[in-house]
Amino acid sequence: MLRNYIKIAFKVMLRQKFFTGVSLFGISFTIMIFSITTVIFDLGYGDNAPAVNRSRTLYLDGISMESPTVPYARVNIGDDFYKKLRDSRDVENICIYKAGNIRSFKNGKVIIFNVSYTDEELWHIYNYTFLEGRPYNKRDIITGKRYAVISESTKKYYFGNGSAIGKYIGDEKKFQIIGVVKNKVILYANGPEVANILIPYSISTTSYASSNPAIILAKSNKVIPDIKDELVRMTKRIDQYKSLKDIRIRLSGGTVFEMRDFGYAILGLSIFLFFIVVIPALNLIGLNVNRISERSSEIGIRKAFGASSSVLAGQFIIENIIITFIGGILGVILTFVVSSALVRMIFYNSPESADGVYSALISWKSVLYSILSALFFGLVSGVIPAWRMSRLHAIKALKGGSAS
Amino acid sequence: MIKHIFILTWNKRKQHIFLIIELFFFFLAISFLVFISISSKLASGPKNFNIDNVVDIQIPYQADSTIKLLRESVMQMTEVSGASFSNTGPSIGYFDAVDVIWNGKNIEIYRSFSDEYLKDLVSLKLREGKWFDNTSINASKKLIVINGILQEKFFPNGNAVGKTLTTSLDKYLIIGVIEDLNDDAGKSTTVNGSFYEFSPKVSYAHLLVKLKVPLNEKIYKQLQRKQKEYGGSYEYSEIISIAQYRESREKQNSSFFSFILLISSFLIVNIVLGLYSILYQTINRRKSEIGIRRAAGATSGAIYKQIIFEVLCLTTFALIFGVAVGYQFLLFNTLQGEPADYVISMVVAALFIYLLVTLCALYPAYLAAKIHPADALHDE
Repeated sequence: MLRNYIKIAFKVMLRQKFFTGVSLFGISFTIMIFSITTVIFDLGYGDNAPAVNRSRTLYLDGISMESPTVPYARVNIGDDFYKKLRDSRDVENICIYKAGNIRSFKNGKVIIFNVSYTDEELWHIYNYTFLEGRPYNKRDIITGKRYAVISESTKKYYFGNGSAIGKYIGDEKKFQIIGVVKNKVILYANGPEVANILIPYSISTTSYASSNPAIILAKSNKVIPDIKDELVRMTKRIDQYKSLKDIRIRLSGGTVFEMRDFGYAILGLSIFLFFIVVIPALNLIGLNVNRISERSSEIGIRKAFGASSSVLAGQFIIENIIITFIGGILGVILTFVVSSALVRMIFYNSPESADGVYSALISWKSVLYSILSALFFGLVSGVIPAWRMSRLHAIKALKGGSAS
Repeated sequence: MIKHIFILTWNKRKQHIFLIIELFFFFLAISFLVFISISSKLASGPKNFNIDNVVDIQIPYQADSTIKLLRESVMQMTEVSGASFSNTGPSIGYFDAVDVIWNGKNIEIYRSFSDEYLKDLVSLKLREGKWFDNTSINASKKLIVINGILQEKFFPNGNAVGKTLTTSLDKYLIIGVIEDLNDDAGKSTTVNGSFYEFSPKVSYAHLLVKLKVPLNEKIYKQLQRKQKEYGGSYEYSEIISIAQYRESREKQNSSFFSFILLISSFLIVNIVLGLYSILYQTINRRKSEIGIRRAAGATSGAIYKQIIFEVLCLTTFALIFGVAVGYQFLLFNTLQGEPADYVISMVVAALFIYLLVTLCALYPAYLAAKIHPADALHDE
C-alpha cells in the first residue's frame, strides 16, 4: 500500500515538473532557514561542547550587599567561601576563575583575545577536545607554572599551522603553551567559555581583585534556587556582616536562561519562525489544492470503487510528506553549503576567532531538527488540501469539479 | 467593470483564501523589513571629517593633572602630529543624550566633550564662528560648538553664534557651528543634532592621536607604555586605530543588510513562484469560462485586463487587512520608530506587492487571452 503511494507520488511529481520544482524550492529553503535558526538558538541556550553542562550551571559573577547602615558594597568572597560552598549537598563542582585579556598587534590591527584564569576543575565541568598537549593540573596551579592552553584559532593566528606546544604567548608577561583545544561556535558565552586562552588561576594579575566569579555546577537544574539561597545564607554568616540588621544580599549572574532572558528570546524566535514558515506553507497549501483538484477524476474513480475519504486524505498527506521529506534533505545540504558563510557573518567582528569552526552549524542535532521540521511542514501543508479534496463528492469529482 | 470583478473575486474568496492570507503575511513581513532598513539607514553625503592615521588611546577615569601629562608625553614623539582629548570621536560612536529646552518643549539631542585641538585633528569643517581655543578656558560661560543640523533646527533664519542654548543641565553660549559629520557611527547626531562642549576638566574617555605614518608595532608599543604610565593600569583600555572601529562597523552593517536581503529575497522568490503557479493553474481550470466570454464577444484585451484586475483585487483584500494591522503597530508604536517611517514602509511595501503580483499575472493573463473560443468550448 505504502509502496503504491510512494510510486504514485513520484509519478505525480515527475508529471508536474514545474510545480514540483517550486514546491521543492520553497520547502528546502524554509527548512534551511528553520534549521539554522534553531541551531543558532540551541548554540545560545543548549548544552553544547565545551559547555556540556550549561543547563545546570550557575554563573556567579559576584555578590553585593546593602543595609540601612552600610551602603552598597561588593562582598569579597574568597577561596575559603567557595571551599565551604563545595560541601553543600546540592553542589557537584565549582570552578573559580578571573577574566582578563591578551592583546596582539598585527598588520595595523589590534586583536584582543579573552583570557580566563581558572583552576583545574574547569576540565571537569567543561568538555574540551585537546588537539595537542594536555590541560594544566592541580600541581601546575599550586606551583604557579606560567602555562597556557589556547584555542585552535588562537594557535592559527599566532603560529600558523605548525605545532604550538612549548612556544610562548602574551604581550608583556609570557606564558608557555602546553595544550591546544578544538574551537567550537559559542554564542552568548558566559564565564570561562568566552576565553580563547586559559591560564592557571594562581598567576592571575587581573586588577579586579574584589570580584571573584565562579561557575557552580549543580547536581541538577532543580536545585539551583537552593544553591542561591545557600549563597545568601553563607554571605550573611560572614563575620563582617553577622551583626548587621536588614541586610540585603544580591547575587549577580544566574543560569544562562536568566541572564539571556529566555522567555523573550523564545518569543522573538517564534515570531521569526512563524513568518519564515507561514508564507511558504500557505504557498504550498495553495499549490496542493490546485494540484489535487487537477486529479479530481482520479479521486472520483477511486471513490466510485469504494475508497473512503480518510483513505484518500491519508494518501495525499503521505504524498505531501514524501515531497517535503525530499525538500528537507535538500535543505540539510543547503544548510551545509551556507554554513561557513554564516559563521563568518556571525563572527564579523573577530574572524580570527572563527577559524576552524566554519562548518560547525551542521551537526546531528541540526539534521534532526531539519528532518523533523520537514515532516511537520509536510503534515501541516498537506492536511487542509487533503481534507478539502477527500470531501469531494464522487459524481462531482468524476465530472471534473473543484473542491471549493 | 471594476465592480463586477470585485463581486466576482469576492464570490470566490473561499477558493483564494490561502492566497489572500499569504499576501497579508507577506505584506507584514515586507513592511517590517523595509521599516528596519529605513530606520537604520546610514548617513549619506560627504564625510566632513578625516580620520586617516588617527589612533584612539582609551583612558579610564583619572585626575585631570595626570591626563594632561599623557597628552604632552605623546606629543613629544616624532611620529605624532597632534593629540586631542574627547569623550568620543568620529567613527567611534557613544554620545550623551541631553534635553534641550526650546519653546517650552524638551528636545533630545546629543552632547560630546572636546578640547581645543579636536577640530584640526580630525579636520572638522567650520560653517561659522570659531572652534574653542586657548582663551576658552578663561571664559565665564560654558562654551559649545553646535553642528549644522542643530543650527537648522533651532536657528533656521540667521546666525547662531552668540546665542544661548538651555538644556536641562546648564546654559551654554554658542561660539561656532560645524558642518554635520555625516558619521555612520553617530547616526542619531545627524538626525537629532548634537554639540561639542568645551571641557578642560571632565573625565575624558579617549585621547585621539594623529600620526604622520600608519600605526605600526613600534609606535603601538610606545603608546602602550605611555598609556600605562599616565593613564593608570586598567585591563580594558585599548589602543586602536580608528580605521579599525570603522572596519568593524562596516562589517556589522554589511552583515545586517545581507541578512535582511537574504530573508526578503527568500520571501519574494517564494511569493513569485507560488503566485505564478497558482494563477497558471487557475487559468487552466477556467478555460471554458474564458472561452464562453470570448465567444460572446469579449476581446482578448478584455480578458487580459480581467485577469490582471482580479489579481489586483485579491491583493487589495489582503492589503486592507495588512494596513489595518500595520496601523495598530503605528498606534502603539510597537517598534519604537518615527510615525513617518511606519507610513513610508507600508506604502513602499504595498506598491512593491502590487508591482510584484502584476508581474506574476502577466504571463498567465497572456495565456488566458490567447485561449481560442472554439478550442475552449470544444473541451466542454
